[in-house]
Amino acid sequence: MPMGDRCAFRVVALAVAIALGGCDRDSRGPRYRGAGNATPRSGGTLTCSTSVAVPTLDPAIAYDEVGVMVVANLYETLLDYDAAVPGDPTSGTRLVPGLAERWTVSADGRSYRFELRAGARYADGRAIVAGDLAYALRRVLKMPDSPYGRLLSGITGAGAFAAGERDDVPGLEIADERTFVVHLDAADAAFAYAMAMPFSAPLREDFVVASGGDLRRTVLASGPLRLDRWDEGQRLVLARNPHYWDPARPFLDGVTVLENLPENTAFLLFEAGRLDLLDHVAAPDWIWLSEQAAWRPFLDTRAQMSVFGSRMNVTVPPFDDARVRRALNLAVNRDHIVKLLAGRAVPAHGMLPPGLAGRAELPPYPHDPAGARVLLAEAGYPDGFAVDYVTVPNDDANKLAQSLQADLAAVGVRMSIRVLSWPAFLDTVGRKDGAPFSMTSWIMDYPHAASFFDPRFHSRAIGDASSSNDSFYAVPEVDRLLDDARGAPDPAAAVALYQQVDRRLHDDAPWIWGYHAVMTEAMQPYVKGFAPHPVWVRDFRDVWLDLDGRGRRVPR
Amino acid sequence: MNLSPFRVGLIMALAIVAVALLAPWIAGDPAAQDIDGGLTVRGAPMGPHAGAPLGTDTLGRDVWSRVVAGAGMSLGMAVAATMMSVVIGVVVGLWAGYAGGWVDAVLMRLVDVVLAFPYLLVAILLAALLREAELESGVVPVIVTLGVIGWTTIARVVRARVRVLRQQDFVVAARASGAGGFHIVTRHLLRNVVGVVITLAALAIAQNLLAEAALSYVGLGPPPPQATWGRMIFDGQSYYRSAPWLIVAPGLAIVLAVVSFNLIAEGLRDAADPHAHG
Repeated sequence: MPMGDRCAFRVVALAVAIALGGCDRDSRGPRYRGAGNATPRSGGTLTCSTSVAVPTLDPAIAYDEVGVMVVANLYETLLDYDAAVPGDPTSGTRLVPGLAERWTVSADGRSYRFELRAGARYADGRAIVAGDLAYALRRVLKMPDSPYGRLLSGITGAGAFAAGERDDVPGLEIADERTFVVHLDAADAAFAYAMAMPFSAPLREDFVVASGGDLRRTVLASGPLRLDRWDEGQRLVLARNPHYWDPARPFLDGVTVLENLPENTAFLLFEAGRLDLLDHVAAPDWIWLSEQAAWRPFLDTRAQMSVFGSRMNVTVPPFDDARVRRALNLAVNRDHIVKLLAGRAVPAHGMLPPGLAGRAELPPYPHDPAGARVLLAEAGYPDGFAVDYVTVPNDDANKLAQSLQADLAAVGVRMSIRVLSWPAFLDTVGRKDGAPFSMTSWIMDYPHAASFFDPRFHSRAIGDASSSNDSFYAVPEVDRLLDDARGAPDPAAAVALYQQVDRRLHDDAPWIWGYHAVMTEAMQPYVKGFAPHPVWVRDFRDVWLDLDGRGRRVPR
Repeated sequence: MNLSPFRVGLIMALAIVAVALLAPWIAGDPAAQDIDGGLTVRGAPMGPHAGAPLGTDTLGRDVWSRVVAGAGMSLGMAVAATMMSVVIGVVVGLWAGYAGGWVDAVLMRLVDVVLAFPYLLVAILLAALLREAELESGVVPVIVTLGVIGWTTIARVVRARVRVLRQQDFVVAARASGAGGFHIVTRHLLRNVVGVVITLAALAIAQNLLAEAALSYVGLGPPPPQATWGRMIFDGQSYYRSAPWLIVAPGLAIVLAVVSFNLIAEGLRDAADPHAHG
């Protein structure tokens, strides 16, 4: 079959070309440099990308990383977070005034009073009033497909309103045009964070009604950017909001988000100077960039408010024995995890990432295979056991599963890896009779210990299907500590309670605690004022482009 | 010595088989990870060096050991799948060709149906279904998948051959002397199609090597840490810039193996006597 031979030679030629192409890379570096402006310069459009499609622009619905990032730049909330400062792990997680000039909490912790900035406007020029905030929250409560209703359930009368038992929410009080008061059934220290999430941004009823209630593609912008054009699946074009409350910002004329761009394509475009920012840099590309002196000053990292590991269903053998779970924690080499992720990770001792209040500063489980074997023998598994491990199809998950397989084999646990698509994965791990052992991860809704613990380890979060507490961990004492912490009027008391939970979970080990991810971002040398933000991921308000006098990029 | 394509192919194939058989002596454990010493400080795979002649992969494993282990896995699966295809194809071809009539019509329409679907799509679908059914081993689903869809060409060629042979004098004579259908098929027809079947089998091995690599590449091959060439390319693809050896080594192995079996098939075809002898 001579045809086959010709094909074969083409494959060889391609392989050789790739190998040679790999040798040429040392000559590459940034194509452009900064023009040297000392102060922020207005103007220019920034281009970035995402590997997925933006599903929706409705702030009440958007729940994925990219959707929330875009929506957070379109909608302004009452409260905001401080800027991310490189080197300070707690920066970017503190609440600061946003649309609300100031806010106060009543002594019993049940009433939040927000005072709107004077002159705050939507992108269409009309004023933002307190009633718009109440309307936006009522809208979320009435939307069954909004994931955010649960964050508002503590508002007085919210449950009855959502169920259709009453027509108003007494807990949402409009004191005057610029004063909005929220009353809660019980003190909840985490509530303020909900008022910094885009779903709580003001909406004008007449606008929503005019768009048929559907804000998927229609945006009433109050944030630094407004929607200019959306070629769905291809590009989202955002432009400067001329009525943003801070007249000095944003500096950019606009931001273009290219959708559905695979990570390796994005990397090539970035290298070619056609993307200004590159996030989610894959391990091989990150290593390569880190090794280039010309690129190194333009790389930035930031601990993500997340945790990754392997979760076990603690109600089924062998995982119903805490000694087994602790043994598996001892079997894992976390230094290997960090290395396999090219340094884009911090070893975890438990749920809470560095910089988050309530984190108990414990060392991670040491790598102790001998200790693990002793615990397994005590638990009745001197020869280990065989188990299936479910994971998802991506490069890092694939490497870590194989590393875990080797670590567990060293203590006698024979692990088979099953790779499932995301929907199949979520289905099986969310059921009590589904896969008992799997990869897992959690990214916070808001930077507070409650956002980590309550959805994953409170017994209330156990369901028959799509259970968010998917280790089915139900310990009354932990439930009580979590409830007490949320209601504690004194933040210091809450922190102490969360530290107790953190320690308890470390010891009970419903997960093999893995690592906290580190966000990676590479930027072109002319991109200034940008730092990856732990909550907003990409906050464009302070970003400016260091271009020449005619608004052009300066070649290197 | 005259280096005919057949001989070149045979020498290459024997060399690959020898490497696969000698694996325990010429290579290390393909699954042994060395994350501390087998990766650079930053966690990147290491290029060819003493101790790892073809470099290390993303988990610090020795690429040479994995290519050698992959020879056994990939060749073994391709040969097993081909044997399955040969059995199905020869039985169907002999039956259809000898019986003729409606049996022939039904069996050949079945072949048409199987051929009507894009090969790789059916393979992926079938492998995914078999994988769900049998979780313990990833090898059997791959063999069954490739075996079940690879028999059609063999069946067609055997059937055409038998259609011609059954009209020939030696078959007519055997039938006239009272020989039954089973005797005629096994004693007279089968031995006359052996040559062409061997040629087709060599081609099928080459095709199955590629198909197995494709299935492994899309994640439907044997589960990790088993080394197959397709899986190695899959695992290394995102490193094609910084660690090209991760895909070049298994890629070249696939090319060599496929070329060798194609050369063998070509030589066999040229050598085959077009005339029947009974």
